[in-house]
Amino acid sequence: MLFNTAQFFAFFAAVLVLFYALPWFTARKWLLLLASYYFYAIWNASFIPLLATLTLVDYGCALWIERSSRPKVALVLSLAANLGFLGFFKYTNFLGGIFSSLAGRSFQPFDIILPLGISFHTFQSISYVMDVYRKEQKAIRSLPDYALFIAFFPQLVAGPIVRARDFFRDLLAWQPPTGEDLRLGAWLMLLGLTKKMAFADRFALVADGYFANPVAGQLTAITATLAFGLQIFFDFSGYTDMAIGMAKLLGFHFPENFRRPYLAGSITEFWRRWHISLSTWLRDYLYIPLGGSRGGAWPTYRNLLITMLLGGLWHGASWNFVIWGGYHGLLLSLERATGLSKPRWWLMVPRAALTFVLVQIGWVFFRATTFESSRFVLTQIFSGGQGASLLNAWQWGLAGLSLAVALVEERWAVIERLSRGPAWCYVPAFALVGLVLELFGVFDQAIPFVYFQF
Amino acid sequence: MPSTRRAAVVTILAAIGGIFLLDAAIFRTKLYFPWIQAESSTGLVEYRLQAEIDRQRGPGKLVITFGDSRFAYLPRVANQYTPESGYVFRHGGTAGSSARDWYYMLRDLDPTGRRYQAVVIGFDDLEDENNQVPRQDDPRSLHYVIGRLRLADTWDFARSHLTLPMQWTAWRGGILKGIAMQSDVQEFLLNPRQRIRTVRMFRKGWAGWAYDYDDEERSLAGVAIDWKTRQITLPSSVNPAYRDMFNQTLLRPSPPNNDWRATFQREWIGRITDRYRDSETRVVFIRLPRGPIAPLVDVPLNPQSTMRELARRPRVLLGDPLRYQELERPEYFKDPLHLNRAGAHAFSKMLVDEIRHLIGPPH
Repeated sequence: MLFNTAQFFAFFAAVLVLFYALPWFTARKWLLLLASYYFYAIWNASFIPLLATLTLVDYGCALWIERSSRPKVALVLSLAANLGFLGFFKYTNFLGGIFSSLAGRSFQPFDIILPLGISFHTFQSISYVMDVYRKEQKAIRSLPDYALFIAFFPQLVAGPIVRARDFFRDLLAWQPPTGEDLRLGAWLMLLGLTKKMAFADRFALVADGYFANPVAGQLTAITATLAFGLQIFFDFSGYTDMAIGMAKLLGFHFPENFRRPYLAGSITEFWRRWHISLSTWLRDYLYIPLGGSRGGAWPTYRNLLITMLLGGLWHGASWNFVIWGGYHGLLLSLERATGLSKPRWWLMVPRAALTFVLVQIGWVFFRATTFESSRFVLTQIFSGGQGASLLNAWQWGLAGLSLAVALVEERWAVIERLSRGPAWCYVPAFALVGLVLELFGVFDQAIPFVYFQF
Repeated sequence: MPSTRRAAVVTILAAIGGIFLLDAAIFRTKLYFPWIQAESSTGLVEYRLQAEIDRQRGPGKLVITFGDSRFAYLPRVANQYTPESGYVFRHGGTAGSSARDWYYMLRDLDPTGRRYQAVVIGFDDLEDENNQVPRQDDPRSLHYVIGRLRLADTWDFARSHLTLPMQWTAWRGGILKGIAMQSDVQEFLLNPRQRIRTVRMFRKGWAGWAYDYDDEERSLAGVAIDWKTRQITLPSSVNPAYRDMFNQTLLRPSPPNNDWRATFQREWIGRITDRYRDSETRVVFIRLPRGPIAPLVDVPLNPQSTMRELARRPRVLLGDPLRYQELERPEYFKDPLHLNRAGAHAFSKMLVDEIRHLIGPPH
C-alpha cells in the first residue's frame, strides 16, 4: 500500500475518522497499533511475526537493562537480535558472495525477501535500547505503547527514524493537534504527494530508463544522473513530508528530515540537511561511540570513514553502496582536514554548486546496479562523447521551479507561514499546489518510493 | 494567526474544495476546451460536435450518423442525393468511438431530442457476437467524452467500465478533468503561441476539411483466402502488414464466451433509444460492410439479439443486415477493415437509399 495510491488514502481517511471518533485515548492507541499492523500485513503478512518478535525482544531487553545489575548482557542480546535479523535478511547473499569469491568458489544466492522497513525499525529499536542503557530514556512499561512506537505506520517503512523520547513525549501525554498542526499536516501531505507524483516520478521515468541500460554520451549520462538526483530528493522528501503530515494530523510530531539539502555549501552541511534523522542517528550511535572527533585528526577521519561506510552499507548490500558511503566519508574528512566546511558567505554560491556536483557524482554509485555500470556512467560523464539531453523542457522547468522554491523557502519559510497564515492565503495556495499535482502528477502507474527498498 | 481546530478543519476542507473549484473553473467552463489540441482524441470529438452544432442552424432535414471508423460513408457524397431523398446527412462518429461515447455526444448535440429526422447507428455485428476485448474498458472513451461529462455523470460513467482500475481511472477523470487532460495542458504550456495559431487555423478550416474529405483509392483487389488451409494470398501491391490484421479479424479464433458486447450495447444503445422514445426522431440500426472478404461461415442470425430486441422499441428501426454485403469485396476496401474511395462512394449512395426507404419522406 504505497502512500501515493488511492488505496492508502482510503485507509488513512478511515483511520483518521475512527481515531477521532473513539472517546478514549487507550482505544485510539489500540486503533493505531492495529492499523499499523494491518498496513504492514498488506505488504507481506508473513513478516508480522518478525516485527512482533523484535518488538518483544527489545521491549523485554529495555526492561531488563533498567532492572538488572548487568545491563550489558541485555544490551548485547538486543543488538544481536536486531543486527542478526538485519544481517540475515539484508547481507547474507552479499557476505556469502564475498566469502565464496575469496574461497574461489561459486555462490548461489539464497532466495531471501527483505522485510519492508527492516532497516528503519531496526535502527529505531537500537536507538531506544541504547538510550535506556545510557539512562537517557526510561524503559517503556506498556507493550502496546512500545509496539506502536516500532510499527507506527506513517514512519514504519521509510522513516524518519524517530527517537523514543520524541515519540513517547507525544504518546504518553497526547494532546489533540492544534489548528496550526492540522493545517500544516494537511499541507505537508499535499506537498509530499506533489513532490512524489509531479516531480520525483517525472524524473524517475528518465533515470529508470537510463540506469536500466546506460548508453554512451556525456550529456546523456549527466542528465540521467541529474534526473536521479532530483528523483531521489523529491521522492524521499515527499515521502517524509507525507509521514510528518500524517503524524501531525494524528497529534504526533516527527523530526524534520530534509532541509533543502541541495543548497548546502559543503558535504558536511549536506549531511545536516539530508536524511537528518539517519545522519543524527549515525552521529549519536556510531560516530560518537567510535570516539567522534575527540582523538585528534586521524582518528576523526577514520571515524568519519567508518561511519559513512556503514551508513552506505545500511542503504543496501552491495559494493556500490559501500563505495558511495566511502566517497562521502572521504569528502567529509577532506573538508575537515582543509577547513572547507566552515561557512564563508562570499563563497556560498560556488560552494553550493560544487557540493551539488559532488553529491550528484555520488548518486551514480547509489543508483547504478553494478560497479561496472557505475564506472561506465562516470566514464561517460567525464570523458564521453557529446550525447543528447534526456531531460525535456518540462523537466528542466520542474528543476528550475524547484530551485526557485527552495531558495524562497530557505529565505522566508513560506510553508510554515502559510500554515499559520489566514485562510484566504492558505486555501488558494493549497488549491494551486493541488492543481500542479493534478496536471503534472504521474497517475497511470504507482512508482514505488526509492527508500522502500531499504 | 492562531486558529481553532474547528476553523482549521473548515479551512482544510475549503482548501480541498478549492482544488475541485479550480479544476472546474478551467475544465468545466469555456476557458480551456476551446484551445485543446485539434488532433487529439478529445479534440476530434469536440471539433466534430462544434461542426455539427454549427450545421444545425443551416437548412435541411438532418439525419445524423454514429459509428466508428468502419462507418466510412461520405456525407458530402450522400448529400448529392438530397434533392431526391429530402435529407441532409451529417456524421457524428469518430474513429475508435463506441456506443457510450455516442450517447454523451448525442445528448449534447440534441438536448431536446427533436433536432434530427433520424439517428443512424452503424454496427459491424447485430447478432451479439462476443468481443475479444471489452469495449467497456476502452481507455480512449474517457478522452473522447471528457468535454461532455458533467459532474452528475461521473458515477454512471465510471460504473459502466468493467474492471476496478478502469472504473477508478474513469471516476477520477470525471471528478478532476485536469488529470485526463494532462498531456494536452502540458503540450499547451510548452508552446502556447503555437497552440493558439493551430487552433485558430483548425477553427477556420476543420468543418470544411472533414466534410470534403475523400477516401484513398488504393484497394485490396487480388487478396484471397484459402479457407481450407486458412492461408491469405496478398498481391505485391498490398501492404504485407495487413496479413496480421486479417489474422486478427477474418481468421481470428472463435469469439470468447462472454456477453460483453451485448451488455454494453444494451446499456448504451438502450439509453439512446430511450432518449427518442417520445420523439419524432427515428433511431435506425444498420449493419456495416464488415470487411473485404465475407466470412466463410457467417454469424447465424440471432432473433433474440440485443440489437433486435432494442429494435422492437417504438421509433426504432432495423436495417436489412445483408443490405451491404455486396460491398464486402476486396475492390471496395483499402485495408482489412476500412472502405476505400470506391467503397465509400457506393456505400454512401446505398445508405441514402436505405434510410429513405426505412424512414420515408421527411416530416
